[in-house]
Amino acid sequence: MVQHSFGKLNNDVVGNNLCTACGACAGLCPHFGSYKDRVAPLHECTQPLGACEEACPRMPSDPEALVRAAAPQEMITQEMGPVRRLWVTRAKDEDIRNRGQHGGTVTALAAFALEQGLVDAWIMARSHDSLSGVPTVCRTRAQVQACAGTKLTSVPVVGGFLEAAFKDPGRFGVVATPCQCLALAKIKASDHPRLRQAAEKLALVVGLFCGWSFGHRELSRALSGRVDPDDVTGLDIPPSRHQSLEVFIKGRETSVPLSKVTGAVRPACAYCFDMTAEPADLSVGSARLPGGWDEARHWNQTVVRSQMGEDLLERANAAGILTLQEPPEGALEKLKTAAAGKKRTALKNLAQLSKNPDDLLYLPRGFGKSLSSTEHGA
Amino acid sequence: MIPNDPMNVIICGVGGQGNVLASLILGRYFVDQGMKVTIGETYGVSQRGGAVMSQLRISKTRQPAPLMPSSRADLIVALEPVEGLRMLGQFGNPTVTVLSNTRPWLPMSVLAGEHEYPEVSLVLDRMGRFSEALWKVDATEIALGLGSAILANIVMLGALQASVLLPLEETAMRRTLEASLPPKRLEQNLQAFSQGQEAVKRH
Amino acid sequence: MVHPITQESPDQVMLLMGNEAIARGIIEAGASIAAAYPGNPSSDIVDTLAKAAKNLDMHVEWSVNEKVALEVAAAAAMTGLRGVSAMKQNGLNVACDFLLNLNLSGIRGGLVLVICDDPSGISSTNEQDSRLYAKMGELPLLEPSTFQEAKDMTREAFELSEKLGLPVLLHSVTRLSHARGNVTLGPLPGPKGKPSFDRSRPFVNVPAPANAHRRLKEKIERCRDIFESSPRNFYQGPERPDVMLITTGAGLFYSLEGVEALGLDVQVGILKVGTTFPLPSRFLLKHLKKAQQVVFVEEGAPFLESGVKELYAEHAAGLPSISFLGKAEGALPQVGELNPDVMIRLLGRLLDCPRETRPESYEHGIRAAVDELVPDRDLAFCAGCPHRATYWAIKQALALDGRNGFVCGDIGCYGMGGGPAGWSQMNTMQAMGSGAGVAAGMGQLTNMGLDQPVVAICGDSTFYHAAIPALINARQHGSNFLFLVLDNDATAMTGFQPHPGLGTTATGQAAPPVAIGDLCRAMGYPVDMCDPYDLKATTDAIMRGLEHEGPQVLILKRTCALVAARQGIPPGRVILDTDRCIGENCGCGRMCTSAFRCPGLGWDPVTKTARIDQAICTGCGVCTRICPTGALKTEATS
Repeated sequence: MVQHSFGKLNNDVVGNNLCTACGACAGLCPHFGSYKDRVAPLHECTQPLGACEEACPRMPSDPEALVRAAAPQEMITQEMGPVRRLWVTRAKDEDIRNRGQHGGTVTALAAFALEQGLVDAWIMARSHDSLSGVPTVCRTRAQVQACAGTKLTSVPVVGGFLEAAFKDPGRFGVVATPCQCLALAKIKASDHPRLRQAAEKLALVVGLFCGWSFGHRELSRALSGRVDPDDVTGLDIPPSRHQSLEVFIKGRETSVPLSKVTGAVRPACAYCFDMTAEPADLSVGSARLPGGWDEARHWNQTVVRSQMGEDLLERANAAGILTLQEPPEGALEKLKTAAAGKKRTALKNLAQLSKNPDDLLYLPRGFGKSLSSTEHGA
Repeated sequence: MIPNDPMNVIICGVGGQGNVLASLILGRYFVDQGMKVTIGETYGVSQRGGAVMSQLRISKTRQPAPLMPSSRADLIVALEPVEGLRMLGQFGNPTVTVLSNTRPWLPMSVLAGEHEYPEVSLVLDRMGRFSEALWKVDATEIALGLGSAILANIVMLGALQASVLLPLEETAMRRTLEASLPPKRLEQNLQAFSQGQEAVKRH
Repeated sequence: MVHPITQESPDQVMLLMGNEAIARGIIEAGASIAAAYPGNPSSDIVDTLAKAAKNLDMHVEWSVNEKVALEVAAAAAMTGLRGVSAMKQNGLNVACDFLLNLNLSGIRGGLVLVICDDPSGISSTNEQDSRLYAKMGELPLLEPSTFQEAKDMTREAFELSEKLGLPVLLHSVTRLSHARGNVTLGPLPGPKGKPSFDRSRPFVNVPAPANAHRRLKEKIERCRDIFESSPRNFYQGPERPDVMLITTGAGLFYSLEGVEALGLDVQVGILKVGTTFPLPSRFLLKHLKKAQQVVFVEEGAPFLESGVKELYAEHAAGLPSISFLGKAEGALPQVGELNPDVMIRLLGRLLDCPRETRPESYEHGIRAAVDELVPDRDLAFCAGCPHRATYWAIKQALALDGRNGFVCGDIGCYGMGGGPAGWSQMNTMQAMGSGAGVAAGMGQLTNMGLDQPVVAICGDSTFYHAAIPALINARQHGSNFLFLVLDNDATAMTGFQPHPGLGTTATGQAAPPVAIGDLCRAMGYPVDMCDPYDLKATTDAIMRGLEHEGPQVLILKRTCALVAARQGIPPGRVILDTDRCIGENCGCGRMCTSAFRCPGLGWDPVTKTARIDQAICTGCGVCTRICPTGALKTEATS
């Protein structure tokens, strides 16, 4: 029996709790829909090989092959894909720093890229109501700044990109989580005519480090009684030894033990192998500095992956948009260890789900085998 | 006056084609002629694209039942070809005559592309094969020419009158039409009736 | 213009629907109040009276529900005039609480309750034989068999009611109510009396209902006596029939048909009973004496059958040995309708005279042609129907919500939402308003771990009919659910009768509208309103409702497309930009025809694009909101 793309996404991805809610399918096709942090199959479709299947980050593909082109072979790492450089960065603009996550690097870079005409618009997640966000097309600095910060819930940004790409002219940049970066990479690599049409509009991808994200409904329930979810302006997760979730509420900040909210983590995140957004031009996350969290929380770590990413960072530096610092010693190794840990967990969970140690569902057989050598490397 | 007693007539089509009005006009005509007439209907789904059918039964002597026995139709007037064939399946016999519109009314499953509507020529061929005589009328085309597909039922009545498959005296039939139709649409309907007659005379 | 049903021309023969014949009987009886709630196959009775009302000295109303309708009609009979109510089987269930007290209190004037059963449930959600209520309520039951009897027995029912001081039940079925036949008119009544209420003769059963019950028993025995000589009961056929058919109601049609089709009139006799409760025992015993084999021909339950069998058991000593064949013996079906074929087969078997059949080659040939060429016709919502848009939004919202939410619904056009027309989105459907009541209960279970969102839906007319007590109940007990009112400004399923929200009455008088939103707010519900044609706004409103804690109301307001057409609201126009239509290709996959399925939209297999049937399309434009490429668009019309 022929299984149509719709059926595969419905059964193998949504049915297996693998869906990342990136929104690729919904952005391509009216048979899928998205609402807040949920993407759902709505109406049966009988396309034998649809663009949805080609773009879905949880349909089988070879992620390593997808990132190989971004950098010379010697710069490819097993744990976190292509790494040209690692910087500790932050925005020079204090206002951006105050509003953005950590050092505000992404907001500053995005606004800069717009003003330099590197992209015509950004697709970014903007906080919408309570704990959920919506993908937003940002054509001005103000629009970019309105997207600063995060609530750590999924936003179907790939869907937002596709919708804009099919509708509007111009070249787009996307700020995306690792799973969303994978979808964008698959879109770029595909021969499917619809995806090529979208890929032509994709100029730049800034990836965000991600350990996991929350379901907004579940997080709302987990927080209730402690804070009113409607008052939350942002969230952050300090280094793991803190075991806490920082919750920003208008004018103040509170801390919730991580154990109270882990139940709100999206089940799909357990199967994600990528912490550092490997298929991106630049990947940005929180920094780890000798001065501890009080210092680090005002900085980012930025991984330069592609030539284009490198150019952007250099121009931003030259223009005085960003402060760039050498990372502290061992920073890359620490990052690799953490990234490898996420990979190993994902592979274990996938094998458990498929009930076959060799069947990694959406990842190729043998994926991540060489990781074991670095297991206790740092 | 009527060839069989009771004379079993089926008027069939799809909800919204004016099946009920056509059978009512015929029924009134025969009541005015002093006959006993019973009309039974399928209904309930009549506005919603379902198959609809009226059974018109005419007798000199007794009030017939609102349903006729299977395979006992004398005449089938089909406002839609596939519905005519459907009725032949249950009520047809080698001596039945059929007067059929040629324009199909596509079922939802065909509109949705799940099934194909059979070739109309095939449907008409089968109706011809399983009846004593088949009369074809492009009633919907004629009706559209007059401005509205809904007039196809009256075109079919005109054709029926001219075909003499049922004994319908023209003047009396026009009187029944006048008594049964709203005055402001009468003119258009009488035209539809006339064009139905013409269509059969051209045969 | 004088409505033809009110014409004063005795002996004129008209072709009338059974329900019109009943309406004429009501007119000839000079009833002063006719009140009903619509429900097929009964609706045409009061529809006919409403249209004719201006020529009649009669108050005709579409009441809010059947119980109120019967109460309103009873008022006429309590003041010495004549009242009538008409309802389908489900309606009688609603009205029964009142009826089964009124039987004990009795009445002064004539009160007739017409009940139209729907064997097979052709236009119903259930199948029931309402005659059993006559036995339970100990009320006289008349069953006409022909169109003429439908009229005449209605008139006679009023006379009987007054004679006994009891409501009288007149029972019809779909094939009588909704078929047409010859009816000879009778004279119109003289002037009516003036109503007055006699306080010395109250209609109160307490403090001793048993005493009232005793009086009822006496009345029903008097009724039996009257029935012994009723001309509605007669025997026709040979003096010593091989088979005696005992029949009532529409069963007479099929009995005659079977006898005639097989030419059995010298072997088979027909005992036709028009008064089936209380049974005329002397009449029946007299005719049973000539029987050897009896076959009971009636639709529904073995009602007449068990009555006659009981009678035979009591009097067997004085009667010949008779073998009985009926539903109890499996000779006739207990469910579904009767038809001539059933009778022809049964009589053919009993008397060994097989009927003529079609030649074998014809039989095989036509069956094969039908199998090959005749597609099924699925039921679908009309083009432009707001319910299609509503169910689309519900489907999207429940899928996106992702918690396996479900819908408790009830009866109306939107009941088709339980089937493919509404993508099977409605999951419970019982009585009028029961979606609200069931959801009120489900909404309690959410406190016990039911983690699926609960949605209830009901139509506008249904809202007034039966949803209000359930909503009050839910409010009082804090049930958690989203209540959708599909307000299409119509009682569409039964033929567009007015309801309390529309500002008009059955006879077209202006009335103060009772707004659904106001009622809900008065009950304490937060009320939101949306146009279902706006799919995005509707889906979002439902999503918000699903996420919101606590009970709430969302009114989906859009006039029924058929009503809009009747009101002459000019249709819009949807056009197709064939260049933009990507048809079956990825990114659409014929969304409009394969998923949305409006009868106004077809698939052109040649051009591989959608195709708009302008004769059917109402231009509602909902499909333009589904089309992913903007190929379907609304064109401005002058």
